[in-house]
Amino acid sequence: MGRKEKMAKAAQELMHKPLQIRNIGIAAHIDHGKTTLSDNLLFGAGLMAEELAGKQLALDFDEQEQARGITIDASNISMVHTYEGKDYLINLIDTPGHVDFGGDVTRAMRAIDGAIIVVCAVEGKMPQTETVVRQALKERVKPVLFINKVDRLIKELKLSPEEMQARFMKSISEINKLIKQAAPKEFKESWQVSVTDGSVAFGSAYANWAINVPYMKETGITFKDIIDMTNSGQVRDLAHKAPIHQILLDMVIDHLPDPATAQKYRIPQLWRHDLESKIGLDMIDANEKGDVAMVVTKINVDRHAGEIATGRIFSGTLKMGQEVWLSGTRQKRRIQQLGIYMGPDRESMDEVPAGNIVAITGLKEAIAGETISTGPEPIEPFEAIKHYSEPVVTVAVEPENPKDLPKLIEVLRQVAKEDPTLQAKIDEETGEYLLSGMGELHLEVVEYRIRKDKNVAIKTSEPIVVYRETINRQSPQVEGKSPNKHNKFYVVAEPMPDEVFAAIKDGTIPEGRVKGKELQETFRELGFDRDVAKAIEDVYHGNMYLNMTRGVVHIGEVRELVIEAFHSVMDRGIVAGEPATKILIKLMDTKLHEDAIHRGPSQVIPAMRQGLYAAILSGEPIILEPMQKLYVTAPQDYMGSITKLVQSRRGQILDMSQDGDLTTVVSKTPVSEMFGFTGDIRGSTEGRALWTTEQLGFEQMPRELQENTIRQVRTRKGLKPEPPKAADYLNPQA
Amino acid sequence: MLIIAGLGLDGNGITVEALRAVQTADVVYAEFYTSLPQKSPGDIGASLGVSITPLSREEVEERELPLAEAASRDVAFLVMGDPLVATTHISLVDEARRRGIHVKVFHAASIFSAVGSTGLMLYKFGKAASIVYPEENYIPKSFYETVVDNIERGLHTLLFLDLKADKGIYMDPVDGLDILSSLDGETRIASVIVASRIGWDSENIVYGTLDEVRSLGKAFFGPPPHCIVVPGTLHFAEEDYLAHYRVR
Ligand SMILES: Nc1nc2c(ncn2[C@@H]2O[C@H](COP(=O)(O)OP(=O)(O)O)[C@@H](O)[C@H]2O)c(=O)[nH]1
Ligand SMILES: C[S@@+](CC[C@H](N)C(=O)[O-])C[C@H]1O[C@@H](n2cnc3c(N)ncnc32)[C@H](O)[C@@H]1O
Repeated sequence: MGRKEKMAKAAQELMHKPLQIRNIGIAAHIDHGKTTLSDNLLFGAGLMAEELAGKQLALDFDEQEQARGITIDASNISMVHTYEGKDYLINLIDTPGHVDFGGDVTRAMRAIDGAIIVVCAVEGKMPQTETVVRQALKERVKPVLFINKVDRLIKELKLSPEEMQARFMKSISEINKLIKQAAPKEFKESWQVSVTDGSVAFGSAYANWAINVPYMKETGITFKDIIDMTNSGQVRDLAHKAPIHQILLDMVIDHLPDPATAQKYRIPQLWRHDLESKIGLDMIDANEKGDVAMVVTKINVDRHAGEIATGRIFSGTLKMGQEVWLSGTRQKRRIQQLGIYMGPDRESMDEVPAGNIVAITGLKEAIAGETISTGPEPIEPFEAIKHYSEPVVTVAVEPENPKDLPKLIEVLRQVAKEDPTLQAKIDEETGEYLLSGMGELHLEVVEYRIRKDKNVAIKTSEPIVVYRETINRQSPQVEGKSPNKHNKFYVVAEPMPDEVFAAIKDGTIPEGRVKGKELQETFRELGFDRDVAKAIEDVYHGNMYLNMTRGVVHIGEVRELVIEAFHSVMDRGIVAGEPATKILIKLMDTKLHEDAIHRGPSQVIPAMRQGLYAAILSGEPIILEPMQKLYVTAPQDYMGSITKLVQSRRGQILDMSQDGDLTTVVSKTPVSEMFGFTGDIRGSTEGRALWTTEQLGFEQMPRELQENTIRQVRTRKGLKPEPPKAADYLNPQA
Repeated sequence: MLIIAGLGLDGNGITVEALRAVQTADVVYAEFYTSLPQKSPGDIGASLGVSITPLSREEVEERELPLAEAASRDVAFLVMGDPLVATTHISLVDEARRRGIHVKVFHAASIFSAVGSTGLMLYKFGKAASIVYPEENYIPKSFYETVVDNIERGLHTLLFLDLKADKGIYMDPVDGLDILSSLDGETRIASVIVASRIGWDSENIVYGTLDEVRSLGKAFFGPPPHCIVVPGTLHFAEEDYLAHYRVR
């Protein structure tokens, strides 16, 4: 039996011993060494040859990723590691680091209980370090820290042992500060990483070594030894004395939780339903005998196996050939194959129990984020997976050859499924196929994939920015009247307070119907009066609907129609047809016809829409544009040209910092001004700048640009350039 | 001037004085979306000696076409049954008054009174309601509550059946009874009457338990219009007369 087969066998046994499992990921800013570290861990597990570790990039399955040098897809690799005489099964999910693909990171976090945060010893905490660590903490994923590229401190910066330690302390305290800020209350202290307890390691993934303070004490290796060995070409020795895979996996086993322990505090966060129910208790206990509950975190489309869903099982045991529910569609599907990945190969298993990460085929309609279950009925879905960012740029896609249209439609469906931060949809008015994503670069990557991997020749339009509509002040109470004049709806629109909007965005207030009383306290804490809090009935795309009516006899019968009208007006704003956001809609009162036939959909929906339009138009409607935080790093000489370029694109400089010869310019720039930035920055810095962006959400567009933008967007959509006025929708008062 | 005239139960029931007014009007509109006639609009026009332009719901409610010229000319607007009974045309009258247009309403026979043909006394009817088909996001049940309220007070309920002329939807009495039965978990409804095409040549009335009547099947009831009556507590005179319609 080869090493791999042995491992597969060991893994199969370990799967049933939750205390001997760790589900982990690696979180890092781009280029800090996540891929190199992953390869080292694979090598240590015997899944890759030593000389290739750090060089082959086995986790970057996508050819394209190798070409671009960034990791795009999250996939899972299992390995067995022995610690203090006991075998452990380690499931390592590869989490992408590029912000443009932020959705993948969040979903990967859902599957894991712990994460190794990698920071470069030279650069320290970077913007994406912060983003991914925040995402991890939000999903209650416990961190440990690995400070990488220590060889550069020694060889390039030539630091003394004391200077080196000072650097480490700086990185550690930055990370601990972040943990304190972003971790859930109960973990702010207990999840602090520390040198002395060994939850921090440092080393060089490139040179295959790592070490931490307890191990230094045990072996007598000192900082000076490390510096000397690195400088004298004895770094191989160091790698044998302190092999990185061993140090890091020991740290993982020692400091990161096993699934049974983690599920106790993670389930209440991930699954906000009845925790006292049978399935709730089974998940909290990771009971492998319970019904199955699993969340899909990633869909890959494999040329041979088809769609492979990777996910985390929280309860029950998944079996080959078993029928499972998809909560999204309430459909049953049969599991064809299930297994785990050991390196690039998939190992089939007959069954996989709770606490593990598994890859399955046969779930054709499943999407990333889907909830899978067995039992008499599909279980309530896991919390809607929160994206930190919404799509902000759209292109229209068409096949070069019209005959390829059906193929293109299928491919768009697939790419949107593989990467849920993408949206693919048909514009009902123009019939165009629209693809929306996180930025120009994100869409370029996808276009490249459609052409190259999916083999469809396509043409794309110039990218278009996605705007939002909102209001600036509270409207007076306005009236919407039904066509038959026998039903009236009295509506007020108000700007949503920032704290409320933030609570929706971070998932504290889930989107959808407000059920039960659970959220009342949250609403009260956010400043709603008791009566108003009780009136909140629906949360939709960052907007809220409140039913403030009292004693209207048939309100229950028309509720869904009112909400339907609310959704349709929020989907397609009145000013420019862009989605509305951050608006509170209050239905103050309604007068209904006595008979159901005279207050059906064809009466209620137009009446409510009129009320909504009149209210929004009387509330000083405005356009919001997407903003990005832009980080440009380049040799100091280029600082002048960078600031000029940024300012010429309506960028606002937020910060400038210097590290050695390098300057970093941080700015806030509208997405609409970022098109073609790649070329321009290359031109003005002779290709010596590195830049990244981070989504900042939507902000009010400067007044002087509003009118023009509204006209442009309206014209593009075939609407008349002039937006409607409140008077167009206000009823003459009797 | 706006002349609103009822066409009675089958479309031929216009009153003599209404006929005179309509014949002198400059333009004659009609709507057939709140109820439907026995003969075609063309035939009705021919028998009245005028040419009728039928209007859709949208043309009446949103565009208010009958009002457009009524300030300067005489416009007639014809409605099945009695024009202001179980319709929302009072809005039209209201708007005309607001605009200073003179309005004349001519009443005619209505299902609301013709339901007396069942033998039930009009004194004893409670609130009326319509049974409507459920639609996406709209699943009304209030008509059933109306029935139960009436029964509790010993009153009869006149139930109109859903009608969406633009979509060709005329609720069949069997569907109406099925919906009632699905809501009537506690069997509060002892008996029902289906009154079909009252005032037409093919008028028909049946009486029985909900299940008896419903199992007669769609073919039995024939074309619309129909209405359903849920009797409350019966007076002996009502009971005796209803016996003629008892399902055998
Ligand atoms: N000097 C040095 N370079 C490293 C080290 N680890 C990774 N690198 C290099 O840093 C670059 C980025 O590493 P990679 O693992 O691809 O980073 P990722 O983007 O986080 O996956 C590559 O050129 C690596 O060879 C290290 O410990 N020391
Ligand atoms: C909205 S009401 C309109 C009433 C009309 N304005 C009147 O006064 O007779 C229409 C409903 O009444 C019922 N209906 C109308 N005429 C009917 C008739 N001749 N026989 C039975 N039911 C009738 C049907 O259920 C129809 O859907």
